[in-house]
Amino acid sequence: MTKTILTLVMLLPAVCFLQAQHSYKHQLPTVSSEKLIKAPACVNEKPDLPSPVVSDGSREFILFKTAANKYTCMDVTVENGEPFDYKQGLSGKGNQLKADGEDFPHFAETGIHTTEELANAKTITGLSVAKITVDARPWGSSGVGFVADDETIMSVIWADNQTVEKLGLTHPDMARPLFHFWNAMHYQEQYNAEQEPDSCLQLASFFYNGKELEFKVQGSRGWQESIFNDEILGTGHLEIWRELTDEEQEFLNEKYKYLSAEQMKQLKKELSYLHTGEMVLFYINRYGFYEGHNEYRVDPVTVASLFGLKSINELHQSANGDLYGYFIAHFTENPE
Amino acid sequence: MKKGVITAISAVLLIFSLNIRAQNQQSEIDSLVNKMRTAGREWNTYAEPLIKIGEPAVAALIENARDTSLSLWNRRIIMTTLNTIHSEQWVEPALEILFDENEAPEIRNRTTAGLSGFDLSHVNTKLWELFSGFENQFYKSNIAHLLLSADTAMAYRAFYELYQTQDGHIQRNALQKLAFLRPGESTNWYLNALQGEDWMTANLAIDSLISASSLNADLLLSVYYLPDIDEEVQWRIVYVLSQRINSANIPFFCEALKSESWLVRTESAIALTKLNKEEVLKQLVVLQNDSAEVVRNNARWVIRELNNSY
Repeated sequence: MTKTILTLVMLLPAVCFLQAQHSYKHQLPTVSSEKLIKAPACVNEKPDLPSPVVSDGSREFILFKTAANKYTCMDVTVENGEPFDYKQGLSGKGNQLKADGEDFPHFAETGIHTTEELANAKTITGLSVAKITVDARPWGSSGVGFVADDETIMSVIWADNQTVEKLGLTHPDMARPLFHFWNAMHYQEQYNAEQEPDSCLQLASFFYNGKELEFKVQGSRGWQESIFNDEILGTGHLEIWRELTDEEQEFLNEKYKYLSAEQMKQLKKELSYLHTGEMVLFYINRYGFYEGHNEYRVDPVTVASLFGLKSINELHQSANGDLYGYFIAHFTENPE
Repeated sequence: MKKGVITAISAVLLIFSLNIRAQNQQSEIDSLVNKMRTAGREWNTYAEPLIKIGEPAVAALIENARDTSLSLWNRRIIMTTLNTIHSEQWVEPALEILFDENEAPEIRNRTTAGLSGFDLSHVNTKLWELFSGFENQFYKSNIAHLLLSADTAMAYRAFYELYQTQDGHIQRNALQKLAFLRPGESTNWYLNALQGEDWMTANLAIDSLISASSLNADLLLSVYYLPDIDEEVQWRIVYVLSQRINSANIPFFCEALKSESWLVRTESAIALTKLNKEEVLKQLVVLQNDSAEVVRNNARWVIRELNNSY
C-alpha cells in the first residue's frame, strides 16, 4: 500500500507534464542533449539549432544571445516549481501548469474553453464574476484596471477564447513562450545573484521560431494583488519586441493600404511589441484570461505574431481580413 | 552588629552598581543618538536599541529632534524613533514643532504619529486652524486624527470635509471615522458611499453593510430604484443583499434578474442560488418562459444550480 502511494507521488510530476503536453497543439522540435550549449556555457558562433527545442527527455530550451555577442541555450521548462510569492520573498517558478479545473473542467483538460462552460461560469475561484469585473475595471483594484470600462471578465475571456480557437491553438500554447521568457529571466537573476559582477550573465536577445526578439524587464515598488481568489501577484514590467520581416511588412502594406500612416504604425506595433506584467502569464494558463483593453493586455494575436506561432497570413485570416479592426475593438458581448 | 555591617555594605554596593549601570546606559544612549545625527539608510540599527531602552532615551532624542542644524532626514528619523517610543515627555515638544510655521511641513507632519492617543483638548483650536491651513491631503488627514483626542465635534467636521473632497485611502478612512463618531448616522454614510465613485470607499461601505447587525433593506432598495442610477451602484446593492442571505429578498432578486445590466443580473442569479430552494423555484417558474433569452438562460441556470445542490 505504502509502496503504491510512493509510486503515485513519484509519478505525479510526469502526470502533470503529460497533462500540459496534451493541451499543447503547437509541438516543439527535439534535439539530442549533446548539441546544446547549456547556460552558463557560451559559444561565439550562433549554433544551428531550433529554438524553442525539447531535449533531455522533456526539458525545454531556448537560444539566447548575450550582451557580449555570445550564444547559450537556457533551460526554460514550463513546470510547477517552488512558490512564487513577493509578499514572502519567495521567487520560485510558481504554479505554471495549473489550470482552474474546478471552475473550468473542459478548459483544464483541453486547454480551451467551450462557450457553454463560460456561459455557466457565474463564479471563478469562489468570487462572483460580477465582483471580479467591478474589481477589474479601471480605478478598481488597480489604476489601469484589468479590463476596460465597457468590458467584463467573461466578455474578455470569451472573446480571446474564440481567437485562440480560430488560430488552432490552446491557451497553454499561448502561455508557453511567455513562460519560456520569464523562466530565462528567473534563471539569469538567480545565477547572477551568486556571481561576481564581472562574470554575470547578461542576456540581450533570444530566438524563437526563427525570429530574434529583444526585451526589457523592470520591477516596481510594491505589488499588485490578483482580482481572483488566488496566490498570483505582480510587480514587473515585461517588454518584448522584434522587427517585422520584409515579407510581413510587404504583406501588411499590401493588405492594409487603406489605413492611415498612424493606423498602420499602430497595427505594426500590435504585431511586434508586447508590454505586460507577470500576472498575465499565470492568468492565461489558469483561466484563459489575457486582460482586456489596457496597457498590460497580452493579445493572443500579438503572441502568435511575436513568437512566430502563426504566419502573418494566418493571423490576417483569423481576424477575417481586418487585423486593425480586431485590435481596436473592445469585447463587450457576454456569454449567457 | 556583624549583620548590620554586611547589610550596609551590600546596600552601598547595590547603589554603586546601579549607578554604574545607569552611567553605562547613558553612554550607550549618547553614542546611539550621536550616530542617529548622521545616520543614513542603516538608521534602524541605532533606532531599534533606542526604542528598546525607551523612556531613558527620550530626553536626548528630543534635544536632537529640536536641533534645526541637522538635516531634514536625520531629524525625521529621530522623530520617528520618538514616535515609536510614544512617551508623554514628547507631547509638548512635538506640539511646539507642529505649530511652528518656520519648520518644514514634512517635519511638522512627522510629529503627528507621536501625538496620537494623548489628550490634546488644550490645543483643539490650534489644531483646527492647522487643519484648515494645510493643503496636503495626507497632512490634513493626520491632523484630523489628532482632533479625535482634542475635540470630537471638530474631528467630525474635519473628516466630513475629507470625505467630501478626497478619494482613495483618505476618503475611505474618513468614512470609517464618520461612522465611528456618529454611529446613528452610519447607515446613511454607507448608503452615500455606495453611490460614490471611489472603489475603495464603496468597498468599505459594502463590507460594513454586509456585516451590520441589522439592516433595513428598503433603504437600499430606495437607492437601487433611483432614476438614472449607475449600474455599478445597483450591483453593489444586489451584492450587499445577496451576502446577507434573506429569503424576503427573493422577489427583488427575481426582478433584478431581468435587469439590462449584466453585473446586476449575474449577481442576482448567484444570490438566488443561496436562498430557500422551494421559494425560489416557485417564483422562478415564470421567468423560465420570459421573452428575453438572457433572462430564460439565467433562470434555468439558477434552477439547475439549486437542483444540483441537493
